Amino acid sequence: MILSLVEAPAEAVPFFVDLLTYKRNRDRFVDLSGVRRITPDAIALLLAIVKFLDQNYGINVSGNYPSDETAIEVIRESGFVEYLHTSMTKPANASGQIIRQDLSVDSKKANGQFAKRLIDFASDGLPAGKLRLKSCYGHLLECMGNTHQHAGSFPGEKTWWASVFRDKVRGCDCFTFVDMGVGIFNSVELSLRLKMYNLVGWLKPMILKKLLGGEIPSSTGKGYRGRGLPSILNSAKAGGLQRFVICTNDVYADTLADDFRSLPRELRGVVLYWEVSHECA
Amino acid sequence: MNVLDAVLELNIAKEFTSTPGPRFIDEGKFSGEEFRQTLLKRKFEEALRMSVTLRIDLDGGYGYGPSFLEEAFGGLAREYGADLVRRTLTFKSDEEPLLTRDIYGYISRAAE
Repeated sequence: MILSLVEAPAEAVPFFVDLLTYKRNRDRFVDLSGVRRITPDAIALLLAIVKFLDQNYGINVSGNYPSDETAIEVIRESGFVEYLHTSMTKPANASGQIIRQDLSVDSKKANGQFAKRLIDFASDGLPAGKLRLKSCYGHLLECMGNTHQHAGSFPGEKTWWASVFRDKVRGCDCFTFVDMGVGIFNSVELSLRLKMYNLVGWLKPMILKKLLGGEIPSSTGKGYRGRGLPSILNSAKAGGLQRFVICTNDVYADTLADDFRSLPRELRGVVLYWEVSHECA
Repeated sequence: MNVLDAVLELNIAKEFTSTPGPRFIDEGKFSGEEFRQTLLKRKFEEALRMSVTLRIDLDGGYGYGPSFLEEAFGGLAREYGADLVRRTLTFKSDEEPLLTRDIYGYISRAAE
């Protein structure tokens, strides 16, 4: 299988939903042996779920690695192994880094120091350096702020993970942000309005499209709020990103391709993924 | 001294932080609200007293989320009025030229 929310969401989402269908104190085994391709977004989400099950429900997750050598190498390079007990060793100059909200530094809040770590990692050694990634820093802050404000039933309830993977073959940086909350359509703000949108015939993919387009007003009633996700899409459309994908609940959007669709299963939380070319200045 | 030529400077990366944060103080460190309350307002009022322009230098940091910028400059416009803020502030953003356009938009739409 292809384990990738970005490339094969209809296949990947059921895999992650099944993994999240836990029974308290019953250990899980993740069988990756049939995975012939895995992408950084899926690795970040897999790690987030494994840690979520361990820390919240005491569920020990073990597993194996893909049989495909390239897939193993992507996992090794991603930063995945830093968080796990595994015999796999981390390479000296890994291509990826994964970070999580460090509650000892700043309890469940948006913090520029976290975003800085990813930007420093991704910009190291490239000619345009940090300038190339200034908008990405802002995107990460907006995502953190959204998790803090909207992901749970009260501010700061839910946590996030984020990663960057320097894809040397394709010449781009792949950013993933995993919001471990309820997802956009189950957020307190939007869930109250879903029935109204359904009445006027809007299906979820269309609602997400309008949300990203800034056509759905913020639940605060203040027109100047709720600009975080639209600003990422605007940046993508202006050429700052070469891809911007969102997967939340049972909706997938590859925004620049104008591909908004429903998924067969509902994934909790939000996964945002974007790519920045190494040539982009 | 020609008043129009006189300028006060505020370099965000040097005088506040190179890693700006979210919108509100209770969301995280170095927020737009904190910037406005602790530094921007003071400089803005100083510029008003001196009848000079306040030039905001946005370069040198890691970047900005739109929520930070909206809360800082849109918030200033909600307090002092968009016209006065537009007349008093200028911006330098060589590293992200489109930021200036975005900020003027936040100032114009601040009262929505």
